[in-house]
Amino acid sequence: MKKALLLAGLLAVYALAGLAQGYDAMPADALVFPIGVAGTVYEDMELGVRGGTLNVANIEDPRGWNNHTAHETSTTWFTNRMHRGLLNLDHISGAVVIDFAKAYEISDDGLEITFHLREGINWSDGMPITADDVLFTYNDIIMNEDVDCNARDGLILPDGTFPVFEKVDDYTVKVIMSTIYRPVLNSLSNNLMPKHVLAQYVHKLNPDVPVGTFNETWTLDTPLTELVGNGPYLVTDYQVNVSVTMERNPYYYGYDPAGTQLPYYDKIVTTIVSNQDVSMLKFRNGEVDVYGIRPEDIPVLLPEAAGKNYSVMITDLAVYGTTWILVNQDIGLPDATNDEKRELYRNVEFREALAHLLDKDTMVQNVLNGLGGPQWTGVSLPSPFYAGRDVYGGPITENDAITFEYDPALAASKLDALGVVDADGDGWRDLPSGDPLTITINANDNTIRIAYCLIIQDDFRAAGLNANFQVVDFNTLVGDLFASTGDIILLGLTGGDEPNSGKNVYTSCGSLHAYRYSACDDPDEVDLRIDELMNLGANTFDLDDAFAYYKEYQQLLAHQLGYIYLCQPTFLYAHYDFVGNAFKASPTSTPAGNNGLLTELCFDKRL
Amino acid sequence: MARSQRPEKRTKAEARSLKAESREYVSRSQGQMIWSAFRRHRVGNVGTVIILIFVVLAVFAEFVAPYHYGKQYRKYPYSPPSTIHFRDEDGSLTRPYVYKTERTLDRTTYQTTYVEDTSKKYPIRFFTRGEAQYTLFGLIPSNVHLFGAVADDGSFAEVFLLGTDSLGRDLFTRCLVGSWVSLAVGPLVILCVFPIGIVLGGVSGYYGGGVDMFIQRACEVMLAIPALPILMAMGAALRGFGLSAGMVFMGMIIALAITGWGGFARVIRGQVLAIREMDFITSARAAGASDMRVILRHITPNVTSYLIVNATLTIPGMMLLEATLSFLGYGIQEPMTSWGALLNAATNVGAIEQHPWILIPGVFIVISVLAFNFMGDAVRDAVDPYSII
Amino acid sequence: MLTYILRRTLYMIPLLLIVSLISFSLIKIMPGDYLTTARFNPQITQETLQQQIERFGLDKPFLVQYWYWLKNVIQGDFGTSFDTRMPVFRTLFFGNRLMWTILLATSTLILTWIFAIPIGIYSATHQYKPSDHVVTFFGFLGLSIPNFFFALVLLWMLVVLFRVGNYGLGVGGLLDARFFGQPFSWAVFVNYIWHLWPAWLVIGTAGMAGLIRLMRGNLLDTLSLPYIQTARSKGLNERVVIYKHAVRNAINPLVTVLGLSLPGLVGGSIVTAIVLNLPTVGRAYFSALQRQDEPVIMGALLFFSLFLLIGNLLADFLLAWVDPRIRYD
Repeated sequence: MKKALLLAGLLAVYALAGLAQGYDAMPADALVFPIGVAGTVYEDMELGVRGGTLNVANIEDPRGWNNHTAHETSTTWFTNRMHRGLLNLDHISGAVVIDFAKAYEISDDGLEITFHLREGINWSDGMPITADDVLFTYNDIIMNEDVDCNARDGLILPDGTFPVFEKVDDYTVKVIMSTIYRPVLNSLSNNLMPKHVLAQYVHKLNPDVPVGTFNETWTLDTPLTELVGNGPYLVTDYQVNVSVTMERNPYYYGYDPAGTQLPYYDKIVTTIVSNQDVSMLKFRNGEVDVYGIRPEDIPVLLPEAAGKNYSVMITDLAVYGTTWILVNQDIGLPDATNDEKRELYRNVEFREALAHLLDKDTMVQNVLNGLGGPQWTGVSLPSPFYAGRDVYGGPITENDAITFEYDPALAASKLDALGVVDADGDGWRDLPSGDPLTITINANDNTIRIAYCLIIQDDFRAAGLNANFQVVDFNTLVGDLFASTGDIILLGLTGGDEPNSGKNVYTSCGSLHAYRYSACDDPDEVDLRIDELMNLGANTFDLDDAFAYYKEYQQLLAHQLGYIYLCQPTFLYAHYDFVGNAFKASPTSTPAGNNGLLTELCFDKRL
Repeated sequence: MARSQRPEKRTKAEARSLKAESREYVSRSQGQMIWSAFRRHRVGNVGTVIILIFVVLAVFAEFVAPYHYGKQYRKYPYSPPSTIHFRDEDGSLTRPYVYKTERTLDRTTYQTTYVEDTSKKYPIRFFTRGEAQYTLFGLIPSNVHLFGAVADDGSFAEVFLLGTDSLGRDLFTRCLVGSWVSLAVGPLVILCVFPIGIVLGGVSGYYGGGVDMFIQRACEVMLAIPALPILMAMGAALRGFGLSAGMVFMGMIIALAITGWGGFARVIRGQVLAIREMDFITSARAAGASDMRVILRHITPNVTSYLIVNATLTIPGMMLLEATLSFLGYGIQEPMTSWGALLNAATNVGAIEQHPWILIPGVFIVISVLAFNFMGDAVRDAVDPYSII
Repeated sequence: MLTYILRRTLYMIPLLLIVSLISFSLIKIMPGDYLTTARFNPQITQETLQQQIERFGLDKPFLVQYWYWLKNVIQGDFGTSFDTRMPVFRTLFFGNRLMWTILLATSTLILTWIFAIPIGIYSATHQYKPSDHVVTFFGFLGLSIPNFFFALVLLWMLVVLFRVGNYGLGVGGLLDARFFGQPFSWAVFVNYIWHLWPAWLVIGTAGMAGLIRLMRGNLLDTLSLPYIQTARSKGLNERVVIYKHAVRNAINPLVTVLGLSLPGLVGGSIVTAIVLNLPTVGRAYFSALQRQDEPVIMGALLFFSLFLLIGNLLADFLLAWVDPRIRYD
């Protein structure tokens, strides 16, 4: 009798365990992060324990929970943790790595990629993830014209067609392209969406709903229990303007080498703040565990660091992105005025003279507090394709850097040689013909950019150029950019690892080739070579070949001085010491701005 | 009295004493009465004096300031206020002087400190020739400044009375130049609002009828518009036209005037309505005075006291609005500056901690708004014939 | 009285219409639009951009856009936010925003009155003594400090000077992180108060000075009237004279101030809410303005306008109710 009872009891326990959420045991196809494994990027990290709550702060509320229709990072910060894609960008190195796909092969002709999906993995509601979901995501959401999805443009191949997604079986998907296009790998990290939940909102699959319903699906109104994802966390609570709470997804397929299911932290609580000063305040007050610093915060945070048990991490990486000035080489073109000025601006010698007047050292010292470095190319510093490296992903040596030193004397002699001298004795240099030369410098209302402009204005005026700086509203500035008005404009762009994402900016017909839109109709040899190199670089899966092409391309750009780069700040962050593994990378922000996907590898050391 | 009814001849002595007595009863004009009532309000007097000092400083700003407001001293970002020494090495009092400072960046703590170079003294001299050129009253070019630090050999050192900002610009100079905008906003807005309000309110109140209805409705629309949100939207719109900073300032004045005239016209109308029914108006009309004459000669002077009070009390409100808008980014644009715009740099609590002197423009705002309020209080007490003194 | 209120309420409609036209014009004058940032994004193609422009109706002429908006409003549809894709007022009032806005405004109002009236009375009864001057000075000080500046300095004092973090107390926002999602309890209530008092202090001090001065002035006027003299000569206790007779009558005109200050609170609280991180409708407006989310900007301006008009109406109504000499019919 007793034995029977005991058996019944054990059976009941097993039954209950079966009803409990999550996997019974580590799935065979789990994604194991090589934490602590020698020879990998993760080798100096520690294994952690599950539990605890991570407190962070974000600026601005999320605008919805729909990853693919979102336009702003305040939303994708959360949705990127609720979903994962076939591929991903590595948490630390930024390279393209497998995620939900457990392996992939590229065919010999480079036109087909076959993905093998992990088997036995479920969505957060327990339903299995299969190739149907992959096809649904790409065919019915991303490439669907009815859906307001920005990611679509990243999938367009050079000849204007889209890749074709084919289901081979439940766990194998083939992607067929018409040309070789390496950058498509970046786009294949798009977050996967559950077909069984969302198909009903897509008109293409469910004619009963009006076109465009998907754009209004998973808005802030949606009950949070309806959100389903395959990422490490799910949003479980939202108080407008106050907080967002995320809790672990019991079906996440990431594990550590010891067999512990990730993420380590049970919960992430995000406090919503209105500006960065408040989040710094909260960090100092101990309410928030991690904080992305600006250069001016360092002198404030460093002295208290030891006493309050947090660490200020000054990395050797620069923030992704570019900050530049452009000299408008199409000035006066639309209405056929300013011909001589246009001639002058198109003369690379003139732009070189201006480049020699840029005191990047002062900019870094005074504006960035010494925490940054000069920039000479449009590809971001942390990218493995950065031309300051000698090989793909190799260390930064700057052996082949093309820079223009701050040298007012040299600039003056160049200007003299061009005939830009003071003809009328008013103290300012004039055009070669003797007409007066005035240069406006415009930037938007951003303290760092204003500071750069004031330094530049000062140096230009000291060299005898009648330069005048004016702050212009951002929207107007962008308008000026597209209309080719203004002399010099200072702006910046975001960046990524993939140089091809700069296609619109650097190719002669790109919509953001703002320093000379006329290059589309009238390219010179350098323009043509740049276009060619862009294609060559994208047209091969061999990374070393691609690297060589991109290196030449960056050097050509640097000589061409279309966009003249300034400086980028160093990537900085601070964290309390009890956040384990945060020394390796910030859980909330990385130089790539890809929302710091290291969150699932951090843990609470106090447990 | 038991004297006869006939008026008696006065004796010469009596006549003289009568005359003397009558001289003691000097009549005072309305203006003199207001002035003496005003003088009695001591706090108001203090406020007025402060305002006058600020105005004088503003008018002579470029003379009083040692430097140009845009000049960046790149070697001195966030320099603390210069230490002025009054004693020399032996401890005896001497002419005030400063030392040159050197910026050192500690690479481990990233703290910036300014260390004095005590090898050379730069005494403070007055009426020095600085490098900043300006024109006095827009007419006379000059480069004489109130003070400067000049060594015996003629070399200059920088004197930052209130420290510098992130770009090394002298805060004292920028506060002086910023006072142009901050102090001018109020009076300029009043200059716009008063004529509109007086004319519209006066016409509306005097004539009544259809004209009154129409103007009243217009006022109500203006009053229905929420001030700060609309000003923010106007500021956002203003930024877009690529206007110079001066024109943006004008635009702001106009925006403030547009949101302000409604209430003012309303009240003027009320006052006119009250005065219109008074006897002296009726008798003026009966005597044949034209409408224009009645309005200008009789009604307006009686409204003046209200106008003066309203002016001194509106000014602080306008100053605070301008400061708030500039702080939010919807007001004055670079290179012009105002006290509110200067505070924009102080939003970071960490910055306040490290460089507390950037809060000083806020102190100026508070002092001047306070001073205007007290002055307005004193004016109101002095001008109001019904107030209890 | 009722007809008067009805007339005023109906009258609000054309007023709001004009305000909406003015607001719409302002929005269209602003440079660029919601999609300008998207234009500047190298990842987005021209075709996608064009689609979005059409989707938001941003390519139509001004009057056509306004007409569409108006047509929808008459049917009760105030539009959909470009950002959140939810209805405009749902976005503006999302969560408890409306509740917090009104709560903040009314609680500040009540607190201001609770402090200002007694201070005004004290000031009047001790006229021209040093304490009167001190009180007046502090009243004016509160009026003269810009809200945003005050809020900033307060935050700085709390975190750096008083180091409240060491006591486990947070600054800014509504609640400390550890109370998120907790059921309502005494501790939660105390925490709310802890987060709200800086806002009360900042917003309240601005309004107090005027109220104090008004109370003082009115009471002084009332105290000089003959019937007070009669009361005194009757031998009544001074206390009774002041509170039972003078204050009762002096307070009447202040009642209009009650109604008129409500919209001012909404406006004055916008900046404070931004600095102190409180969830109000004003903050939603500010972020919509920055992102040029047109439908939300329109909805917010109309909301503020309506609030203003209701405040005016309330003021007039209260005055008539309290003062029997005033009649509107």
